[in-house]
Amino acid sequence: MLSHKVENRLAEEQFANKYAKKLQRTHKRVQKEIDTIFAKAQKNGKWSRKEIYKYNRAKKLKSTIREQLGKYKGNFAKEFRDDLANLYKNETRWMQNFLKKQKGLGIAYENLNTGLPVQAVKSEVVDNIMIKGKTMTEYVGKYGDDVAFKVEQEVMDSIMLGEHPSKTTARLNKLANKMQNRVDMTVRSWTNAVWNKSNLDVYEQAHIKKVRYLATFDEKTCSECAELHNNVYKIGDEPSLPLHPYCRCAYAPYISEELTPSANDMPVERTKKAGDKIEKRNILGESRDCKIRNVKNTELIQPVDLDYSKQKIEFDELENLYKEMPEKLTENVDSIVLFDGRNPWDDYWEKEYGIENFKSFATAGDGQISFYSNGNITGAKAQAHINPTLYHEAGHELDKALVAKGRFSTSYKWKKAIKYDDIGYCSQYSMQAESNIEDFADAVKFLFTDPDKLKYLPNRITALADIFGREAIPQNLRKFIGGSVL
Amino acid sequence: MAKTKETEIYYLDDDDEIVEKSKATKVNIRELDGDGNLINETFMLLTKKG
Repeated sequence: MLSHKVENRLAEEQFANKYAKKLQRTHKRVQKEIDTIFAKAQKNGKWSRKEIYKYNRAKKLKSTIREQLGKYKGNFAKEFRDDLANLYKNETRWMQNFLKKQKGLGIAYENLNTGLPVQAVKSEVVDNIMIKGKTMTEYVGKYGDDVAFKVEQEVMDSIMLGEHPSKTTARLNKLANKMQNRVDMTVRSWTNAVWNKSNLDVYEQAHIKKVRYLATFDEKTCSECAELHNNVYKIGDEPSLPLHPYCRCAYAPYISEELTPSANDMPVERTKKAGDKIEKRNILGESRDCKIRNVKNTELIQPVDLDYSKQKIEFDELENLYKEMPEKLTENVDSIVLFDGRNPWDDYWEKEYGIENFKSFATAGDGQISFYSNGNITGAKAQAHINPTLYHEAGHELDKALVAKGRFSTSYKWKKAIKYDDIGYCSQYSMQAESNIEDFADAVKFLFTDPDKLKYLPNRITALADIFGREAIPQNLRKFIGGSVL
Repeated sequence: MAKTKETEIYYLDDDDEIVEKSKATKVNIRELDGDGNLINETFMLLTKKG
């Protein structure tokens, strides 16, 4: 199912490109019309107000712009309506086939052979889906009119100011960029809406009563979607998707409480894995049997009887994330521990800094990273913060290991990288702490979790490429390797 | 903790921007030794009230 969702994303990308190209062609046609009129209404290479009003040229220009954009709007709505209908049909068939293969779940398999849940797809599905109170045709219609008005206004302003035609083009290009973003957003939003509507219709057809809300987790995930992740809803009570522009959330079928995990973020797989050791370890002052898994020479530790309502990070998930980290980063981390109790220092911090109910999420130092009781937050939120924490803290350990004495981040090389990148520290945290040490740990974190944050830091990219190898640097940042001075 | 000589606290929002305490969604505490070396880091996620 996950790979199908990835395929859907790629299809969405293709749709977005298709309509963006159509917009570019319209833009070129409008530009051509402007050039034709300009040839007749110019004086000394600039728009002439006197000439533009001769022979109804201004009126003709305006109506040509409206005509071109009107055509675009009409074609867009018609073609997109057809595309969305096909999308609905394909997605529906895929989901029916997928569910038919899931045996023993007590769903109404026989209903899945009776064809599409909705026959008149265009009029009953595509025309009825609403986002923020508008149907697709209404939205495209209104937006098309707004755009035509704005294009007309920009061109006429440029003419009235007697501008050079290159300025008129610049105005139109700026507007075209905004339009492009809007087209992209429109296509992706309605595509998402149709996919989700198709899924809901098939679930109902199969007599599935509930759905699970699935958010996509990465650096772009918004807090609203993250909070809803894994919630279970009765069909009909689910939040309408897309929740916002560019929303990537989806509904998964929720079959029964015996066959699927419950809604409250409980880990799916908690069994002992072959190769896990069981040893007594000191867990917050208490000797407890612990499951110990050796991953890349780091011990992942959790008490065997861990209270899952207090620790939302899953052991297997932690292992998977850790396995994806480069060897260079993991080799200096001795252990990672999942606790179901509070950090003993929480009371101290609570008093020291006046933060009511202070609850540490994680601590790190001396080669150990610890995750404490986090029952106060959702499992989704806990999962979303593991990666940044691991990379940042493993970055600190690497920082110490790279040089025989002290830290690499305080070495001449990193200092020079910061100096010659010439925009100060790479994060607000390191800037506020005025710390090269935090700058290095955050740079490592960004490289693996949010690399675009390094795009104006060629010297730091170069230093990181020296440490992790050129292949660890994302393709779009490799051009910066070599930096400006290093 | 025995080696800790100084602590620093930073309040951040969801975008990791430094913000005032009332607007923070995350807290980072740095523990430093007498020479200003980092010895431990504590990370807290704040939950919304109400």
